Amino acid sequence: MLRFTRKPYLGFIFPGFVIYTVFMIVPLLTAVYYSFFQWSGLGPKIFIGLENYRSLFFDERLSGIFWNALGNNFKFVGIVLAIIMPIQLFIAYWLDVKIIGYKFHRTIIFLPYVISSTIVGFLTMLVFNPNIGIINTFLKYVGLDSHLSAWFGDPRRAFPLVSIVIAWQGIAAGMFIFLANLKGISQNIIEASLIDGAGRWQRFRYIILPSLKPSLINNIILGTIWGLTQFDIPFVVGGSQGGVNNSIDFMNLFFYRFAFGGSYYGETSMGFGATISVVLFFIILIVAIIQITFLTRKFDGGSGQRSIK
Amino acid sequence: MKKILYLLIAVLVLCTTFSAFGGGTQDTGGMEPVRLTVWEHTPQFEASLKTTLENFMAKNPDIKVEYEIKTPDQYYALLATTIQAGEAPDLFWTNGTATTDLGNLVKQNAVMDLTGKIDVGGYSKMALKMTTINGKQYQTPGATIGTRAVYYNKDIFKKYGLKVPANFSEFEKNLEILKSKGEIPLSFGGMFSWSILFHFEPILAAMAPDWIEEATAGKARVNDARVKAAFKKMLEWGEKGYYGPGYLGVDEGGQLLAFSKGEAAMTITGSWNANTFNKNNPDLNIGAFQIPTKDGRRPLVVTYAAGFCVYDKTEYPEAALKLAQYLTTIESQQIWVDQLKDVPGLDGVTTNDPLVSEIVKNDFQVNSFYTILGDFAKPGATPTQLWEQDNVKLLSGMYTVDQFVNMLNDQMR
Repeated sequence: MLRFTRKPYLGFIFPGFVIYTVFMIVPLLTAVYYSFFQWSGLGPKIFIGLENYRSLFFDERLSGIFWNALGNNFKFVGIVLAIIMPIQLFIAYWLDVKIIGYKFHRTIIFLPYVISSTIVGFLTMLVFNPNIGIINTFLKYVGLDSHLSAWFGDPRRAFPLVSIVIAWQGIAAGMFIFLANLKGISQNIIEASLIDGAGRWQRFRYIILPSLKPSLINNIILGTIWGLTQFDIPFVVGGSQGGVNNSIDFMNLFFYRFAFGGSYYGETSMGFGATISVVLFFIILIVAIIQITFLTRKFDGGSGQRSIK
Repeated sequence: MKKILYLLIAVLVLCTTFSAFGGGTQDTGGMEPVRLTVWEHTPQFEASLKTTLENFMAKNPDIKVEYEIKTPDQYYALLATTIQAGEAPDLFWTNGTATTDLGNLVKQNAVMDLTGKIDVGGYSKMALKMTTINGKQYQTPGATIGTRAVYYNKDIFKKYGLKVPANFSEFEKNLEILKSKGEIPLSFGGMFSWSILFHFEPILAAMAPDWIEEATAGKARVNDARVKAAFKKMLEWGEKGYYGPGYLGVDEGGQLLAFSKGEAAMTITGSWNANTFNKNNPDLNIGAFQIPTKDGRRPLVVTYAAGFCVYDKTEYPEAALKLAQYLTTIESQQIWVDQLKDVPGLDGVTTNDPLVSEIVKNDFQVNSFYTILGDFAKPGATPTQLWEQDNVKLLSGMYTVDQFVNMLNDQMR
């Protein structure tokens, strides 16, 4: 009590600290603890040290699945950063300059975001069903039979397709962050640039883009986490096995089917599942730290400030 | 003074809290209604379960039973989660010894030993094998034989003058004619392992019934030339376009829907789906048959269904046991069969459904390929898991037939 009186800020920190500890730190430490055991989730736990980690990285079958799933996650992160984010920025910019029908476009872009991922996945399966789906039916109707495809059944096409579907559903989130940031840019600066004769591109490059620093940093970090934590749509369209030839397998699917789905030599394995989740946590943590460090330095012009503004 | 005041307030709050928690129990005076929850793994069985439970509740008005229908893909994951949380349903379905799940649940002491507690006297050995482990009964036996069949669209057959094939080559001839007429001969969901199993087993039974007989007796290997030939036949039909333009992109729902809509002339799937087609499309005019062997005999792939386990830590063991006992009776099994329109698997349970009568027309019965994989697994190995995880890779060309059967064979005794 005395400590709280002397340092009143502790009273403000304490509730958050307790909640964060209970819901974040404790589960994380529990997962680390379970990862050292062979444990189906029920019954006795058998301590096996680092065996789960050895299996994950070096077992011929399991490591193959792990690296494939992790690779897909990073491929998707690449797509988010290189393709989806520029599109989000582009759309946000055009909505901000109020292109014709911008309210309609804004609604249309936002609409998929409020549809449940399960429904999006289900509709996707109907649309891309090779026998009765609208795409193949249309191709047949216009005589393009040679372009008929198995779509999600074709391992080469499944990943790009699932990326498109995920992007279609989730593109509004980052776009609205950009849009909010754009709305905050002072009109005086824009008008001054117009008076100075700045063209559209120059205005975007030298005024708008630098002003978007906070939303860029947020979107890069959130987009990366989005890419590394994919689950729902790939699960609905490809099942827990991650589609044909595991072509749309992601780390969370990998975790799901081993922790709960009996894929670990016929048994559920909370121990192995915990190992996957711990590894995934540290991967996300490392990537986030690298990004935060790099981005804050870059945008702060090497001033040494680390905070995200 | 302030400290005393705070203390009094704290005591008051605690007393109020505890009395609030305690009050609920006291109010009921021990007259809480018994509420059981039952879990099923697929919507196909909802009508059967619902009617059966309604009948049970009519006979036992003091017991209220609710059911929840899950989806097959998530079922065991959800079940495991609730068991871990100590909140599992009072009764729940498993696929018995057909998969490793019941065994795992037994190891984890999650299911009640029903030996001597339910009357399974009238059930066949095969039905009981599905629900017993080490001689102990852990699940109610199922009411039906889960077999597979070729369902065909009678209108499409009539349109092209086709008949139910009398032998294997006639079946293939039908496929060829249908393809040449621009129809999808066989709707097939090659994206998921279970659809592949139910499709493959009748082909294997028609092409290599002798292998199944030998393998069931433990005298034939999985990498036998006859098994390879059946796999190659399945792949050959895919290459010839008999499954439509992209069967690897079709899930089970899509497979059934294409046939229900009349977009495909035939489909091969489980007998439990017989009722699904006409629910999807009441105007569909369908029949069923078994793929005949080259000499015209009709094999019937037989697996017995499994019923329900009782959760070992159920809050109401007596009521749960009462329900388990009811689920084992001929009366409840008859209700189940009537609703599901599936093949009855118990003496005294009958069906008059014309489609089911067509499904069960056979000359001999054979074991399931999946059952053989499970029965002859090496200790610690799980060929059934390998099958489930990798059979799609056989269809996609990632594995050759030789590679795949050798991988399976390595897991077998």
